[in-house]
This record gives sequence, structure tokens and C-alpha cells, in this order.
Amino acid sequence: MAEKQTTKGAAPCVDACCTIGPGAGPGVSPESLLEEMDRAGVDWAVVHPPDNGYAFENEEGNALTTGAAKRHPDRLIAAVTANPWRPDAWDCLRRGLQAGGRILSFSPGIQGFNPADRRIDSILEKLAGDEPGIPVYIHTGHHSLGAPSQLFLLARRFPEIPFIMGHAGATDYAGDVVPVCRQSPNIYVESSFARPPGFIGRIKAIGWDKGIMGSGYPLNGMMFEWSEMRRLLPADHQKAVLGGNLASLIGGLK
Amino acid sequence: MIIDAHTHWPVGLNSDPEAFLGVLERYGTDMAVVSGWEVFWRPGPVSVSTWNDRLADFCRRSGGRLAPLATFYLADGREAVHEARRCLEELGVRGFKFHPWLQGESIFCETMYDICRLAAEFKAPILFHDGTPAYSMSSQVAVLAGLFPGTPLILGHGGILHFWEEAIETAVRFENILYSLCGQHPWAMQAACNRLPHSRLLWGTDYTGPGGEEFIAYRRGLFDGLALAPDVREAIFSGNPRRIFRLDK
Repeated sequence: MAEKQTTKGAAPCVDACCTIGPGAGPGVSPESLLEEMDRAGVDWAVVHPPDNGYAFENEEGNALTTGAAKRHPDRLIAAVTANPWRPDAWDCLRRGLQAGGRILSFSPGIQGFNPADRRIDSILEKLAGDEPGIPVYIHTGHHSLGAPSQLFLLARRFPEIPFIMGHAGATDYAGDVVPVCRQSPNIYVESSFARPPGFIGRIKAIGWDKGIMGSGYPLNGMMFEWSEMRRLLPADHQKAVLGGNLASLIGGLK
Repeated sequence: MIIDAHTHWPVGLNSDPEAFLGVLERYGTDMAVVSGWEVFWRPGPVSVSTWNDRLADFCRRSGGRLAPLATFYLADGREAVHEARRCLEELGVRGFKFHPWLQGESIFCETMYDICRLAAEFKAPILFHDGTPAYSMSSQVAVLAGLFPGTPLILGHGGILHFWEEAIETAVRFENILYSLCGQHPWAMQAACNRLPHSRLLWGTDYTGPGGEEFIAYRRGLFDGLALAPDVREAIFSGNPRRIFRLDK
């Protein structure tokens, strides 16, 4: 067995992008995720629903993530979703939040909407009114639907909502990230699939308080992604990027 | 023997091959197949043929460790075909790199078809950037592969992140498609290795020159983590690129 990884300092390590359940990649149970987290020296992980949970089976996907977080309240953080095309999308999301969801997550490429248009606005208006402070994770990088510049327009419409730019526009929108984020104080940037060498350069330009580590497990290897990020990230900023920023965003780890 | 089948070098910025060879040494890479870098933005007033000359000269001074891929601009029409032929016959390039996204050109035109015929004549592969709509989709390369079954066409990124299944399907359907493990996540890389004939696989870093060295370490790490038999790893690292780019000639 590989030696467990550690991070400089005692700050908790939080992985912002892991997926459980059956999907395009290997199916991962919450328990096997925990084993991988132990090997990678990761204390907490945000669990996102699998692709079918984004596209159609929203309740089932949310039950998967909130159920896992309930069973492992000291390790897993649930992200919940609903397809914005559903007339009852907010009701679905509200149920997910009541079941323990702490982050809303949307995948425009899979769910077929453009963050720049108004499809999602009624949901976010309700979120801002009823559940202030809940961050919204948007998967970016998918072509046509999910460009950082589309998130830029959305984030300006909802300056009170913290947004997490999932995957930092990887790969083809990497060059958009810095100019978007320099003008968007409510956008944080998550690293999965953006490759540590490139991601770190962009966070350095935007601000270390905006960087959030995610491995993209299980499509990516958790141990390798964390090992590369720990190796390349300046020691002074490891605490923030490897967990502190996300922990603050969700109101603390509990 | 480790051959990086997908690299770039900014020959306008640094024309000393020793600088590149030093990077290869540092990461344990023996040889590299090299495309230019600045040329993909067509920086004037330097002509495309001058950029191809510079790259070929750069590689010629590497003691056989760097193999050049030339490029062309389809909007140049017949001149592009002449330039491609000149690069093969006079400069000895090992094939072509075409980046439809950066170069801003659709691959469906008579000029590209003529270059495909030319490439088939020389058994020279064309390495495409792929995985990026609207001009650089793996399935578009599949269409080209169907039109020109005798032309070896390389998916430079195997669909990158979002189109990796499309890229594998492309390679499954067309035997003249070669597939580069370069830019995908490891799940997609492993799926390609499991589903495609090993003789059609390459490995590359997409290293783009000074400052990008950590990408070599990262992509080598991804490849090292794949579950591959030693002979398959050896084929991807060495035997396949030697054969596909005719590096022994």
C-alpha cells in the first residue's frame, strides 16, 4: 500500500470535487472514497452526484450525496443539484438542502442550459432569499455551455452568491479565468482537471484566497492530484487552497 | 527509450536545440516529435515557410533527437500544398501538425484533401489538435479519416476532457486513426489503452517550451499510473512513434 500523504501544517485538507455513484467513470461508493481519502491524506471531500443525477435522476443523485454525508458527517460534504429545466427545480433543491446538502451544483453541459441566460435565475433568487450564503458550484469548461465568461455574467447578476468555478474552465477556457475572476469578487476557482501547474499560475494572478483544491476523483487519481498540488503549491498558501478557502465558504467544517 | 510524440518549441524565442535537449534530459526523455509554437498564430511578417525552415533547422542540430512536424495554412490554397510537399521533400519533416482551433480553419476543404493525399503518398502522419469545437472535433477527424483511409491521422489529445468517448469511437471505427495519450484524464487514457489496438497509441506531453516543464512531470506521472503490460508501455513509448513518424529513416 502506498504511504499516506500529508500536507504541511495541520489544516484540514478538503477535496472540492469527488463524484460517487455510477457514471461515465468507475462507480465509487462512499466507503471506497473514504479509503482513497485516507490514502491521499484528505480529511474532507465534497461529493457530487453522478452524471445521471445531474441530467435526469436528480432526487436519486441528491439522495446519494446527502445519504453519504449523513453516514459520514465528519468526512463528506454533500452537493445537490436539480436540472433547471424542471418546473419544480427549486423544490427539488430545497429538499436536497434540507436533507443536508451544503453546496448547490450545476453542470450546464449535462443539464443543457447556458449560465449567461436567465434559465437558472429563479432558482438563485430563491436561494439568495431563503438560504443565503450557500455557495453554487458551476462545472465549467464544457464547450458552448459552461464557459467562464458565461459564469461571469451570472455572477454579476447575483453578487451576493458565492460561485465556485468548477474545473477552472479546463481545458480550452484556461485563458479566460484570470480576466473573469479579476472582475468577479464572488467567484472562487476549483482546480480539478485544470492541472496543478497551470492552475497555480492562475490563482497566483487572481489571489490565493480564491483557489480551491479538487481532485476530480475518480476520473482522476486522488493520490496523484493531491501529491502534485502539494508538491507545487507554495507552502504559505497550502492551508488556504487545500481546504481553508472552501471551509470558510461553507461556513466551517462540521 | 522514451519518445514524447507531442511537443512544441518556440523557435522564434529560442533557436538553440541544446535548451530543449536539456529539458528532455531532466525528465528522462530520449527523443521528441516537435511542432512549432508561434506559427500557430501566424505571426507576420514571417512566412509559414520560414517558420517551417526554422523548426527543421532547429531539429537538424539536435543530433537526431528532435523530429520536426511542419504546418500550413489552408487559406493559402495551392501554396499550402506546395509548402507541405517542400517540407517533406526538402526539409525531411516527419509529418504535419495542424491546429484547426488556433489556426482558425475548417479541415473540410480541397486544400486539406490534397494535403491528405500528399501525406498518404509519403506515409506522413498529420497530428491534429482535437477535442475542441467547432473546428477541432475528434469526429471531424473521423470524417476525414473516412475520406482518406490511406492517410495516418493522429488525434493529438484523444478528445481531451469532454470528448474522450467520441475520440475512442473515432479510433475504433477507422484504422488510419492514431491516438495520442496527451491531455485526457487517466480514466480516459486507460479506457483508450483497453479498447484500442496498442499499435496505434502514442504518448505525449504537449510541452510548449520554457516555463512549461511541470506539465512534462505531470503527464508522465499520469502515464506511469496506467495499468499497462511492459511490452505495451514500451510500444507506446518507443516502437509506435518510431514506426509512425519513421524515425529510423
